[in-house]
Amino acid sequence: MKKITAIIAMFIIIFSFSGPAYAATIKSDQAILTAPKSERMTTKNSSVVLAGKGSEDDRVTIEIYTKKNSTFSDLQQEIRFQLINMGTFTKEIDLYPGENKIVVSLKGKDIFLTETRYITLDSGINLADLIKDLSFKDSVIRINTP
Amino acid sequence: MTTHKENIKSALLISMILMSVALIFLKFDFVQLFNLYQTSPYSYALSLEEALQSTIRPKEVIIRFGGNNNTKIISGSQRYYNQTRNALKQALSGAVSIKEVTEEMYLKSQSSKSLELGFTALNGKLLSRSFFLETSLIDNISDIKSILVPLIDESAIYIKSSEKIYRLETASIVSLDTVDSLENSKYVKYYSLSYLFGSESLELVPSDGPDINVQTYDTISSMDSQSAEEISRDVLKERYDFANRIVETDGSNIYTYNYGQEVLKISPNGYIEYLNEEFSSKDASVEQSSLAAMDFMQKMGIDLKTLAFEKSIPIKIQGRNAYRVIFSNTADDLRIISSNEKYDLSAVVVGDKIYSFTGIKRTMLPYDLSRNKNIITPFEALETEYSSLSRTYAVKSGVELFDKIGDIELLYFMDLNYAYIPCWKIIIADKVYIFNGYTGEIMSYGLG
Repeated sequence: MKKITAIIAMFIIIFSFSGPAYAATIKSDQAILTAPKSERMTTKNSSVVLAGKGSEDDRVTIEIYTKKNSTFSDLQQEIRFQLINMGTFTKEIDLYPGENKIVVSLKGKDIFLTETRYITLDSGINLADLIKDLSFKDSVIRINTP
Repeated sequence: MTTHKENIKSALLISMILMSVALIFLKFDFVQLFNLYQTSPYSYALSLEEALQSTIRPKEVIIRFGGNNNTKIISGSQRYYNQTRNALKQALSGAVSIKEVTEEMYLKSQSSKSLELGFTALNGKLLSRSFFLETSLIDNISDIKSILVPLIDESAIYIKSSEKIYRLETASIVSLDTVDSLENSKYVKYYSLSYLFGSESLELVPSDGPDINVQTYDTISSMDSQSAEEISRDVLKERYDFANRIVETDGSNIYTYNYGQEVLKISPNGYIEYLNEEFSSKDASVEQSSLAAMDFMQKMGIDLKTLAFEKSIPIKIQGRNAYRVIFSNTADDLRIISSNEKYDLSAVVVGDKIYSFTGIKRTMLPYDLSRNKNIITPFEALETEYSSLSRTYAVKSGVELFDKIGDIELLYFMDLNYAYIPCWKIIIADKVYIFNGYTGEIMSYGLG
């Protein structure tokens, strides 16, 4: 009898802990982000606007990663906020030079969604142009011929 | 002796005939009808061109740099207008034809680097006169809503009225230094609701980036007994000596002439009412009416440089052609509106004479630095009142509400204490809502 009670108690404990995980479902067909629409983009602007939609009280997390050793493992910034009654949000995000991986997660009562954008900040500095624009004339040693 | 008597009789008869002709002229106002005294609009001390230059100002200036890099000029918009004005004048002076184009063409040019000026309903004739042009190709456009100046790839200027869009060729691509220098600076970015949420509305909203700081202004009345006296003398002129003055218990000064045919009332809060039922027999023209209205407002001590020309509407007053000419006060280049229509500066002009006038004249106090506040975005304002708005418009989400937005404008709203509060004017399903720019509460609803 004790064994049965213990097994039932264990089941109750296991289900009570894993409850929220079952409730939050990952649905890949639903979108959070309404802008930017394309998954990958390159921009010369130092910031990008993220706009999205969910429901009232949904919690949104925005994580911005940059590359470290060729993988996006360097978390540069994390922004958390809760949606209020309109269920929409806009956030102007400052970009880091090079490639930025932006992960937006939305957690609601019965939903968990995540979306990723890869945005490259093109700072406009082209090495070839930089060399071409360099003025060598000032560094040339002038030799005065007699 | 008999001949002498006959001569006197003839002279008397001739003088009586002449006098009767003169009296008939005066009685039926033939003097004005035949324009004997050359009472042209240019007989005013004020020049039409200069007055229009002071009062024609855009209600908004939108600059687009292409690729979702947009901004609206909040303060200093007149500087951008002045530079655009030269380009527009040149285009109008040299133009031989104006072409009607499609909305798609306008939107395509708008999406590239461009400057767009927004107006309430500007008359094309008045715009031409403000450039010192006697006539131009836009004279027949009575309600200009926006002027688009492409700044790349295209040598043209677009003029949009409530019904049609026109394209004017320019000699070369317009270049504006003010826009170029702005491009390289940090500006408040605006995005269209269409881009952000795939909404049907193309209205621009600021992002949550740099703060927008707009001050509140307290005001005081510009009217006391002495200024009321001066104004009444200016308005009534030689009739002043025959006018009656009544001082009401609230301190209002009422001047009446000819048993109430002409009435001027100046209230202590700065509100002015005027009525003159003696009509001009002339037919009204939009230029004459506007000049008469501006001349009258100058007599009221209103500085034309603080006004924005809103619109001129042709109306009938007792069967006669007339114009209602409407202006708004401005502060820091933003329009000032109020919950009470009577406070708008509105003149009804028959011929070149003011038939009626209503408006308020207040003096702004220097703003209190400790009260400097950043204003909220239109999204935050809508969030504040979303529960009631969603019920009113039966919408299930913010995105559905955005689809109903027709216009978003930052302006000043004069509250019940006559303070100028920065507000967001948002038109939702053709209804005008005024949201407090600091708190988001609805200050007024249903303005026309």
